[in-house]
Amino acid sequence: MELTFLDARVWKYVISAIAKVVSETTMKINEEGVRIRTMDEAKVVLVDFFIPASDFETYEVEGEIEFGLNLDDLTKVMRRAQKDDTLSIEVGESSYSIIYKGRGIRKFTLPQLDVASESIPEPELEFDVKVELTSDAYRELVKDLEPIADTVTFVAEPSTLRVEATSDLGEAEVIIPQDSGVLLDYEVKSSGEPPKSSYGVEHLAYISTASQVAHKASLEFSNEMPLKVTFSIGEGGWLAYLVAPRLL
Amino acid sequence: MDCLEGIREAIRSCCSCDLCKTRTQPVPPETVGSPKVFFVGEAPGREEDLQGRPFVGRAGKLLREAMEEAGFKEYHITNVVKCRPPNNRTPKSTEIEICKRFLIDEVKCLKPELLVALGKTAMKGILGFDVPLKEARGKVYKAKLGGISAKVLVTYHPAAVLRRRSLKEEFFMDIKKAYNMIYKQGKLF
Repeated sequence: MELTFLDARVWKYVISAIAKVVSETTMKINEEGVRIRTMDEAKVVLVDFFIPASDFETYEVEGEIEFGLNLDDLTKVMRRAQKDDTLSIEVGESSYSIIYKGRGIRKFTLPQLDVASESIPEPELEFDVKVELTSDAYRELVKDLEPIADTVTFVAEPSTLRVEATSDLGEAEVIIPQDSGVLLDYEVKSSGEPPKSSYGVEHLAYISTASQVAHKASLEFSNEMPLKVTFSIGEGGWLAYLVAPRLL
Repeated sequence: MDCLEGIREAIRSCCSCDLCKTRTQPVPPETVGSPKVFFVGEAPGREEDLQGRPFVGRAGKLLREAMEEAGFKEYHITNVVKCRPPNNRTPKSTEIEICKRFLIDEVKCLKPELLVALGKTAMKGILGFDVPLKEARGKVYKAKLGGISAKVLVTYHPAAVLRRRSLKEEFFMDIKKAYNMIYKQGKLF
């Protein structure tokens, strides 16, 4: 098996973002690509990360391998990724290695964890609202709201996305009209009351960690239903978080 | 809960460090209902040492006011160190390490979803790292105590809020955040 990814920083930020949700999970590598699909113990956040085989510089995989990761330890190794490093993954019988090639070759070997493969059902959700914006705009939105309150409410008005946060400390309201240039796409299916739903700001912030290596963010939600935040990565990859709503 | 009574008894009879020589009495945790949230302070103060109950002094009143305003009906209030250090000094690392086994037992017994670390000593005792409180305040970390995974929300110690009233709004916001994280949060499945 041989896998090489040209920009090691992608993995550095993505693994760090996933490690904010769970400490242990499994990575699945097969002919289609590399996938991590996991959920926190409280069943509030579902993470789905996928990089297709075509996004790798070298991808020689036969069959399927799934192995357990300690994400806190892997994050420490990923932090060592430097600009211009490539990343290769090698999987042994009871360990796996992360290899950076840039100025020299640096190889880190970590033990595989004995973690059972997670069987997470695919939630059947239909979203009434779909918003696309740059990942930087998403990060700035969360940064604006995070200091003010713990809960953020999205309201999808016909041609404006309104995002509110209120607490003892004060109020924050971000209004993004459809034609402001911030929204790359904005669709609201509902014709009645504007769909409105609230989420814990810390859950929205988890994925922000990966904004540097994503080019686009999409937000999908319905009235008092889960929010799906998807960061597009590379040509065909993604990091998606499905977040359960806060019921205020 | 039987396990909790056993822990309280072990705390009452503990003399594993020198604090037992200067305390009036140890201060076991206070539990109301079936709590999903722990409030973890540093160590008992003078009033707690006299009454044998955690957070009953001025700082305790402020904490309880914030908890009530947030909506908490069930809770567990405890400290990383169960005996008052002389002259209210900060507990030593060795005292925290010796006493931490009780907090671990409390977590194993009640399996909370969230621990609210009140102040830097509690943060260090639970998470094991030492960063400036202003950096960690309001943030949620993951911790594993006694094999039990829980989230940890870091905020000010209420005594610090009494000293600097400008911190009050952030402190009340953090306690409300703890409530919303557990009692207002929906699940995916």
